[in-house]
Amino acid sequence: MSHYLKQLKTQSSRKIILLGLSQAGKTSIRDVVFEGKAPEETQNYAATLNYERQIEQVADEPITVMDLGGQEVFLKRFLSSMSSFIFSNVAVLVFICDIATPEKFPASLKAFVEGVSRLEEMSDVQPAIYVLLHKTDLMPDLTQRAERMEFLMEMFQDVAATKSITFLQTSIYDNSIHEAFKRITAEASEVIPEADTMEKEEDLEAIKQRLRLRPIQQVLHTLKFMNRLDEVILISLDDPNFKINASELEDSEIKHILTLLDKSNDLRLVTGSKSKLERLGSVMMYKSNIQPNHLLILLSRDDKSMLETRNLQEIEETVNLLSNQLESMLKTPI
Amino acid sequence: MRQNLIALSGLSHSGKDLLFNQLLKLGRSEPDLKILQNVIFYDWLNTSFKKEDTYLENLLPPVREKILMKINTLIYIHDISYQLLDEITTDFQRITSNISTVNKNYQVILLLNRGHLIPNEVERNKVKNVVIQRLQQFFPHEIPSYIVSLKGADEQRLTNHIFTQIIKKATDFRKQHFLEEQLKIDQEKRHRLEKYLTEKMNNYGFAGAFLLSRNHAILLAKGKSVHWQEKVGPQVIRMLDQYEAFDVTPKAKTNILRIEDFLMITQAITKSIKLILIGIEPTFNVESYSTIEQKCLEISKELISKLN
Repeated sequence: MSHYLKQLKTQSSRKIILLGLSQAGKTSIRDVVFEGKAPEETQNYAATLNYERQIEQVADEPITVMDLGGQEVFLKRFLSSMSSFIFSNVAVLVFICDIATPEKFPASLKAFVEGVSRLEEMSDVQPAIYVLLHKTDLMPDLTQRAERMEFLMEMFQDVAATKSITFLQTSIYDNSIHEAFKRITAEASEVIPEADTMEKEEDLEAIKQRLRLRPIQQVLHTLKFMNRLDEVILISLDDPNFKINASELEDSEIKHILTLLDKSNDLRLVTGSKSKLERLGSVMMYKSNIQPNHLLILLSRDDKSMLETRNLQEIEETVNLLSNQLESMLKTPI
Repeated sequence: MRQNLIALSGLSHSGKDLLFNQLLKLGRSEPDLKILQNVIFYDWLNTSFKKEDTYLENLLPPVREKILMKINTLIYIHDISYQLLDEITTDFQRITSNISTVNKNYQVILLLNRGHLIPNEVERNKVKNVVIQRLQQFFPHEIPSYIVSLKGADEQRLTNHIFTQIIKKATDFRKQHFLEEQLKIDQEKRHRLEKYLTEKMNNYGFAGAFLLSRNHAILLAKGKSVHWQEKVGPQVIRMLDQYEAFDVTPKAKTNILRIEDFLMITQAITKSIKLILIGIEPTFNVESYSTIEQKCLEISKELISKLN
């Protein structure tokens, strides 16, 4: 049995922890996402004392959401004496970083590094790590925001180089926070597969494959969120069955649209070119070659999406940054 | 525009699924016929998606239109033993009117399926003539027809042979239908158009502006230099045309295409004339694509008035 499966079996309860500096917006996120409060109601929140704990039902599975007080004194406690209590059995670590307060970035990074290393020590499963680049509403200038996002992504990834981190842009004033938590809770409930299916030998390959594809999928999700896209698809040009996408559409629907795009000759790049952007009706489609012999497709219909409003060179830079990551992931054998 | 697609359609229970599978099998064993690349099941175009309000809703109509434009042969399947003449007439009318809105150059081939059910030649011909008569109400051209069946190895071989013939017919149709079109622009009008294009090209920072005919011959060329106008621009256009880069459908009036640093905008001015503007991307750094598109629409409108 694989190493991963042993790890997965030991886990019995799942936990999502929210971590971040004070005033990062953790309690507001929790209340907007899980309590259904209006964003405006959370404006005058006082600092969280110690921590608050609540159980959420996600797809009939209990998930513990821990909102950790961000005040320095509490953070220290969490990261020292209480760390075994806080960091064991974590399915997802959600780190919240307020993008509008650059003066707090160093402290934020420090808390993140501490949190991740405690997680490493205490958790007996491989938890997923999400960094929410939060309060995007405070930076309406898209170019400025994109620059800051790229800077932060690099910083966070640098300090946890061996970890696969998913970065999401969020704000409680739009749908992005709900979209983000839809993914996070789905991920939390996915960490432990059903015990009986785990034992089936025929499923081992599928699970291994899924575990291998998960980091790739996370990169696609990052691309999708960073550039406000509707869809990111990675296909193999050699293997018609290899297809990963970053939306919640059904597999058959993605296959169907890919077949049609193939017939309309829209899955083809000009020989020798690395990328192509085109418009199909009100949908913008950007394609880029990923070695070895894969095609990355970015789709967006929203006029405000990065494909429409931003200089493409910037998108290309993001794509290139993540392409290298994708290429090394694709080259790694199962 | 490369019209390379063969679409297969028919009423439900006409046996079209099995025939389509047979066609794919033939495609796998005879890759030279390029069946897998060039054949499409018409029903794929009408599939609706379960999740509403997704990008698919916006993406599907232009892709569907592009595919309809690329059809050169419609294979219509009818079960020879059926008497559903009104039903097939309605179905056929719907399909041909869908295709005809964007594509006037295609042929129709009728396949009478389950031929084994009516072995009598006179009876078969009678059915065939009646069906063709009905179909010709909506497609007033010659409709070649074949009788096929998949019941038995011999029949399957014969059906494969017929499919091979149809594929060849489709290729021939493709070759002959590209008749050279000439657009007559008198000297004075040409001069006015050139002046206008040069002015707009300079205003918006494009390196070249070209007018293409329906079959993508260059009708008029303007470039930032003579070299660009006569060498670089036409070369880029010819090269990209092979990749069907200028296939603009009515639903996607403007196509913005960016390859590496080149930005190309294709705009259908009239049914047979397209405007291509080519520039280097950094020139447009400050503009969003919709602004560039808007500018092109304005240029097109002006061009139409100058052409008339």
